[in-house]
Amino acid sequence: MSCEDFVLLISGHLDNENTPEQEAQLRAHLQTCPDCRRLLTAWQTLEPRVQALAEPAPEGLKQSVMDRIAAQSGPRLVRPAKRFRLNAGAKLGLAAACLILLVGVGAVSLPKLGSKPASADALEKASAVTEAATTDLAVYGEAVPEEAPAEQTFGTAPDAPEAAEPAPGPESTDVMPAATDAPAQTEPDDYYRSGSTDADGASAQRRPNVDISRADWKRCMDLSLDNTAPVLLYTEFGPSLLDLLQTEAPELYDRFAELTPETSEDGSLVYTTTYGDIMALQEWLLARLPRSEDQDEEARAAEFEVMKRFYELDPDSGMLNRVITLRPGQSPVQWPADWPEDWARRLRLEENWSLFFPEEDFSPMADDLAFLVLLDDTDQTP
Amino acid sequence: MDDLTIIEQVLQGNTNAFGLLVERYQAKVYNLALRMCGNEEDAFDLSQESFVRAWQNLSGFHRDAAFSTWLFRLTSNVCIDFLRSQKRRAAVSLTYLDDDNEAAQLDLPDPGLGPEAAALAAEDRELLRRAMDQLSPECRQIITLRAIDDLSYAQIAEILNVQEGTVKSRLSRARTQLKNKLLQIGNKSFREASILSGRGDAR
Repeated sequence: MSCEDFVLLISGHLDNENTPEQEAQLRAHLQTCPDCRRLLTAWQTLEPRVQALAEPAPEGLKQSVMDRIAAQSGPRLVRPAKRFRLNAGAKLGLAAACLILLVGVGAVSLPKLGSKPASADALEKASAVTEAATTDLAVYGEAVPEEAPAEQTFGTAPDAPEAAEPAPGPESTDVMPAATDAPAQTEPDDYYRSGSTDADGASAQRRPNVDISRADWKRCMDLSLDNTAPVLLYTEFGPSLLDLLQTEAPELYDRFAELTPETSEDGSLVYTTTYGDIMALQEWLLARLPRSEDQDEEARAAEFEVMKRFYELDPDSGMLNRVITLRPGQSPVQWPADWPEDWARRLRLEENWSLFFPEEDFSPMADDLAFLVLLDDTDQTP
Repeated sequence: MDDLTIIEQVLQGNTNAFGLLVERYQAKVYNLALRMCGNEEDAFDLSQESFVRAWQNLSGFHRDAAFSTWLFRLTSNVCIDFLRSQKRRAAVSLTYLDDDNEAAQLDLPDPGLGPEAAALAAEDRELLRRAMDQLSPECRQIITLRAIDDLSYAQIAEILNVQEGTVKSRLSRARTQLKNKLLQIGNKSFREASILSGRGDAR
């Protein structure tokens, strides 16, 4: 090796990154080479001087960073999450897990129902969201809603009565239990078709009915995010859902059990959780959805994919494509008046599912709040 | 609290927690930017930019690497992009800015003076800084990562996305360049100083 080669080892020696063999070689060479010894010494002197070039971070750097961050709400990062309400019907039995799972991400903090709005600003935005839409996120078991927080709206001053209201609002009666007939639709079947092809004859097969009020379906939208997006989501659900989780999906239950929820007045639990947890929860809920017997794993997965596929977050506008998922047998008898008929078109009809996809330019909501309505009416036993 | 824990918190919505990461790494990030771009104002901006981008892309940070590595790589890229856009002169010329900030010609190093002269020149912090500034961006980068940010070859290799052996040889070459540059600059001023002060001895 020439002295040039040893320069490499001298450098490595400086950094303590020579192998033992290299060190040995170097030591041997240095014993006989004054030039290299001088180089080593010089570099050993030089190194700390280079280190001494280091300067402390300037005073205002951190603050300037935090200021810039505060001014941003990168789509991939957290925005203050919207709160939403999932009322799993605390009074209903487990089975009635007619769940409205709300998953919202947005720059607005919706006031909890029953609480004062967080800010006028939030209100304004949120009411753009809800517009005239009242949101009865009632959960119905049997055929009669036990809890129907009628007139509850997001984003409005919640003087509206809490979920204590026993009887559903008049809107909810629009949806008939329809135990005996095909969904009484005054709307053309375009919007919804009963899932089973043998709609009438097989009505005997009809599952115990779980009805959703028309008002509920006003809010049938869903949000989907890029699965890797770390967003903060609030999820509320009733205690009965938690019980269900504990029984059926203990690992998932554990995730929520670790968290400390806030409790809203009506007993629903508000969790701050991650998108991953929400997705897991959704998947679990989806898995509980009754299917026709021969629907297999693959079909379910495909279904879930279909659902997911229709969720798109436009990063620029923050708008979401929305999906309305209706449960077979469930349909609004009257399509909500403020929903233009032509903006929803059916995308797919499965035996037990119908999916509707709004026209892309339709956006009753100003931002990206949405929720997925999942129903489970398999067993009605509490 | 370790980096990953802090990141977890940030991703859960605690933006302020990111401030902890900034505090932890701002000195090293700043110095990397400072050495690479050569002036304090740009270094400030580039450091800030690096942290903001880190925050924006935090979700893309995969835990199989250290956060610091990821951050330094991000910073390096920000700086290199900046340098390219500024079309800074690669510092392989024989001109340098003298005390009057005017380009002056360097004498080629006197072969008689050994590396000790370089070390001597380095005693003048200003000279050293100048010499560093005149190295190529890649040289400045790797020297800074090693000497100032105190990173191991393995860490540097990850940041630069090269093999460790490459780090070793690049670093060695960079130090040689620095030494030569110091000789070039130092020689001139050394000679001048000697003449002015009457010190004629070469040590």
